[in-house]
Amino acid sequence: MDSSKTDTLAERMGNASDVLVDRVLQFAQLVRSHGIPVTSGRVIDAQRSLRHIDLGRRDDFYHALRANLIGSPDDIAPFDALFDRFWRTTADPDPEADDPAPPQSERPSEARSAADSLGPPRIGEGVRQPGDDEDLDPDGITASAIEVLIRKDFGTMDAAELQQMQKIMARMAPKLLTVRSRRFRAGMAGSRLDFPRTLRQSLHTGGDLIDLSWRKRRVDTARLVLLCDVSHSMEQYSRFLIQFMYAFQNELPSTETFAFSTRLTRLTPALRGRRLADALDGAASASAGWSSGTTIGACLEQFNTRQGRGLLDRRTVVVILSDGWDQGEPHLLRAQMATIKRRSRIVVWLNPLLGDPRYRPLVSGIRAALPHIDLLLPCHNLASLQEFAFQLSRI
Amino acid sequence: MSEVDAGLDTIEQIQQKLAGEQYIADRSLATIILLARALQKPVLLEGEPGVGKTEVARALSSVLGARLIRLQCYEGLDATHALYEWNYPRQLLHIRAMEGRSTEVDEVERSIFSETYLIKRPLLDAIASPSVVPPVLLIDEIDRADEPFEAFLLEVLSDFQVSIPELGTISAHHRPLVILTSNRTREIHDALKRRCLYMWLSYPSFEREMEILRSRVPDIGIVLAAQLCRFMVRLRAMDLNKRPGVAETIDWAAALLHLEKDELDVTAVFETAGVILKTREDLARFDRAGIDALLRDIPSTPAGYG
Repeated sequence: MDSSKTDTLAERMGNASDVLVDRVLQFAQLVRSHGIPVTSGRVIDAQRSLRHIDLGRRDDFYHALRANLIGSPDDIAPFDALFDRFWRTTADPDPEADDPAPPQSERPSEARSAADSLGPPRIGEGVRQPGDDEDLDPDGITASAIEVLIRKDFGTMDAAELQQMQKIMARMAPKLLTVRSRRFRAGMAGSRLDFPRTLRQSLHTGGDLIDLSWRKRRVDTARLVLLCDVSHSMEQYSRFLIQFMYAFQNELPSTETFAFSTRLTRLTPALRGRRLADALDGAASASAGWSSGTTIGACLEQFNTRQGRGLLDRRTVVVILSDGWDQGEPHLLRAQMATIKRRSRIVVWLNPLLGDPRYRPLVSGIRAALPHIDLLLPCHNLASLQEFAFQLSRI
Repeated sequence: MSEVDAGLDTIEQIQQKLAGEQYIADRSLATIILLARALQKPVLLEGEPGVGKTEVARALSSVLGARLIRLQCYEGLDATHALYEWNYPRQLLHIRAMEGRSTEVDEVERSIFSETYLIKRPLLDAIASPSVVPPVLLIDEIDRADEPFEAFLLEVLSDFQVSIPELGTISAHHRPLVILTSNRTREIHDALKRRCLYMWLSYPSFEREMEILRSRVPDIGIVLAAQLCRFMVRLRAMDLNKRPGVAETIDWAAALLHLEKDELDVTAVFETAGVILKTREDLARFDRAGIDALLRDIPSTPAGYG
């Protein structure tokens, strides 16, 4: 936040001392730099709040700031740590001195480097071919290149191909949705009478309801829950899984996304409404145990008892992306799959290994899960993801 | 600040008055209520089911002498059910009654789209309230509504005014005190969160639950109350499908009193388990051996309450 804004705020804060206004601003910035979304509107309200409490009481001061600055129980622990550090009663107020978080200006480059190791390559690496006289699509990818890319295994792509892939997928996601809604809109079954309009028309016929106006019922899209394996055995696919999740996240607003390896992490907040690079950065840092071993059963158990509780209902489509390499007990996985199956509408398992025609589901994990899977589909290339989307639209 | 002085100007007063309504609020909740009234901001209360989110609104409306207007959210809730709807049958009757008279179409339209034929749903009801004491508007379980409704709600909560095409704009004389609750089955959109003061309500501590229990079930003996609350703390630490809330503690206490138990033992718990555990899976795991393990070391004389 620049100094001019600080001045405006100080003016608006009339009777609070300027020093305190500054300090609260600094604190709000510190909180924001740790990933808690604090807007200037909320900072103003935090400042306004302080006029109504006894500033001599640390607990009231804490509660007033907290109520204004956080928006999730997940924010409480980081907020508490920052609060304690920043508002120490004794020390000299210099938040930057002992704040390990990098200043704002360093963030973009850091975000990009973390994202690079995971996701898309830097912009401008061999996307456009000068002198190419083929029809270029809006993203500058030739039609024939798309044809080839669609069938190429994600695991064997180079950096340029990965970037093109990302664009194709971003464009594909909205199309998947129109397939859905078109199905829902067909016919009169979903319509109901638009009474206000009908009534107004009837005035011209003396109150006789001759011309009926219809109103379309709102389309209730299914809720999607994505559970993505990010363990070592899935590393080469993880970036595409994440991108695929990301594309869905913005198009299907009620999608919930989780990553799992040795434990389960909810990615939805990290993926919401941000640039892909930032989102991937957030996802990577949010997901502990990234690219290590896998205990699918234990992770699904965590899902069933904690994060997933209340998330599943008869409209929910659960999609699990994993190769089924489970280091845990098969019976645990089987029991958890049964629970998921019982609570949801459809369970889809995506397995990149299915791209190999010689693959047989022999791994104990996938065998334990099989009885509770409605659809087992490959996800090793874009063609298979399109097939998956098609299957999804028919549910 | 409200023009009517309800004696709620300090955190202590709020706690005291709420306690008078059998609601035991800790200091953080009382602070947020104070700020909500001072800043005229809605409060978003999140927490597991059964921690007393809805009760806050009820107790607060009693304390303020305000009307409690409740909007229960559900999947597919839309503006006609939340805001207003025209009373079509009455409008039709009116048109029929006007038949034969040489009335202009415009005039008929004006008369049937007047306030007489408007059915106010909770949101409009709260905004259009003529009362000097602004009502308490409880928007319950917002996580069960869908995103389009959240967006709509955001609009209403920004301006506290509603425009009805046939009537014009209605704005609130006094902003209602708005309490939103969420069980967090779904994340609420950031924009809506930003509009609110945020509060996470967790299960009460042993001491606070004791206070609640003795306030709500005054007949309960101190030994049984302490045992119950200790047991609930342990029970909630278990991996259950549906963890029991404060309401369950209160119901359970009432049930045990009814059965004339003054101490908790395996048989008493086993016979009344259905009051605190509400799913078949949880009940199935709750056999005598399991109960015995949970009861172990729960003293029959409550420390600090003797």
